Amino acid sequence: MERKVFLDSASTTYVNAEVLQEMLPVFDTVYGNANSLHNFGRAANELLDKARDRVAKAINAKASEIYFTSGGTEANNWAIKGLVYANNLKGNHIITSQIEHDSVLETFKELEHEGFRVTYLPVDKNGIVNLANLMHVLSSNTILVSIMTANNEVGTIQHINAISKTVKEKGILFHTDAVQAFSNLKIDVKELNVDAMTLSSHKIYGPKGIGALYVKRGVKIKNLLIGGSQEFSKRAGTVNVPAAVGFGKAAELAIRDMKATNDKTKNLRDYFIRELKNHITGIHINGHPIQRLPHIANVSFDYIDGESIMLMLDLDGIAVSTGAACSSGDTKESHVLRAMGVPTELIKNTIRFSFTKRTTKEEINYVIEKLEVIVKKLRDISPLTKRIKKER
Amino acid sequence: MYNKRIMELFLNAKNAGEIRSADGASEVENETCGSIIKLFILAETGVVTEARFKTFGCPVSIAASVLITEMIKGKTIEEISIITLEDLLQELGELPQGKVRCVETAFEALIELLASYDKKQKRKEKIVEKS
Repeated sequence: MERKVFLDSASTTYVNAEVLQEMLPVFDTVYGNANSLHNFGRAANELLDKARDRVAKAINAKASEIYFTSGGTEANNWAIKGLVYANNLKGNHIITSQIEHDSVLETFKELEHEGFRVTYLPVDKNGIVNLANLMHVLSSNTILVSIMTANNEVGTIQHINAISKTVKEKGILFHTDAVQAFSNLKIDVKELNVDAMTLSSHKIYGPKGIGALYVKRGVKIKNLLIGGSQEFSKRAGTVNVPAAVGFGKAAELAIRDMKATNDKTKNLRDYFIRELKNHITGIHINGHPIQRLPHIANVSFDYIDGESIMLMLDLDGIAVSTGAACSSGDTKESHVLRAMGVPTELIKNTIRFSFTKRTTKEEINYVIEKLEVIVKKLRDISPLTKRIKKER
Repeated sequence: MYNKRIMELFLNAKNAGEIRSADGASEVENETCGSIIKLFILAETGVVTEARFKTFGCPVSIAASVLITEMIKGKTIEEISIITLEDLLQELGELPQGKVRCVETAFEALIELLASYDKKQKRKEKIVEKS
């Protein structure tokens, strides 16, 4: 049988068996429209309430502050546009960072076209947003700051508490995209004092097609989707109850198992990097050396193209991604690595390996073995290859 | 992701390498994505007896380089000079969006290879004339 190894958990995860178990009856037994008043609807609504409670509990929010969406992208779009449109009388300056997910960056670009003034904050070589830079650009005209909790490509974790504190002291709205961080970091929205936070299910062993936006009680936000009273009249459209149920369970499990999961994936990731360094020369690990999510290893290989590496790994049954997973379908270079100042000749040569709870050391050994052959083959045909001294 | 023909060329990577005292050599960089294609030939009697490449780039860049070396081996310089970009594209088959540029780069390397061969030939003729 052909061997398959999935090292792309930052793009999506499998659905946990316990999660799937809770979801199944919602497809064929409790399948009512949660908005319907009859008993089928009420039964579905009860499950939806429970799911909302679980997601809320995971970030120490109130259930009434959690709005289910179709995923992280919708939540990011909604948070930014909704907060800006509801508060645009207070100013027209908005701030984000250069390393956000495209669903944030593209929304800011659209607002920029509409006439808002946008600051895209730079990051240092490790991918960290400088607090002094942020303080410098905040003004009485600023209405929103949106900075991700942790980056999806390199895993760098921001000083999100300090950022939030700085922004909130000025009375400015603060949103954070916590899609990649949720389940790896303890998140407490009360402590963080954040106004809005984006969450997603399919990065935490829950189903795809469901996410949530946390909006602090009292914060004004304009609807993105209209034409229905669902989600406290804030987000129209029939709620995907089976997915919401799955998301709720996945969130509960993620918080319960956080330490064990983090320890496991971090051990695997560190083992992978050690083995990589032992077997392959001319590699560079991108992202913050310590302040980084435990399951991501972003690696640049001297002299060889990332897409060629990815394709050869794929033929050996190994799934990884080049740059951001969402960008893998096209040849766009990583804006994250660019912002971090990774040299142009290395940006193209980058692969993101991200580990799941199921990854084994034996799988990693297999990947290293294949990778060693692939890297040698591609370096043999690359005109850039120079003699690399073994670093061992 | 890519068709069978491209995968074959990419994976076999036939004719990889350099020729030290080549009768023609070229190097072209694709400025959009940074890929680099180098081509080398031996063609002492006007027939290509050996063709090699070195490529840094995506699977299509590598496949197109291999294809060129395969196509020109055993051919005369005149025969090679009538190869067009369309010939390469047809041989490679369907490409994902945005990948035509990679084949164009390989084709530019072929054009430069022919120019380099011409230049070397002219230099050789001059030396013969002088002696």
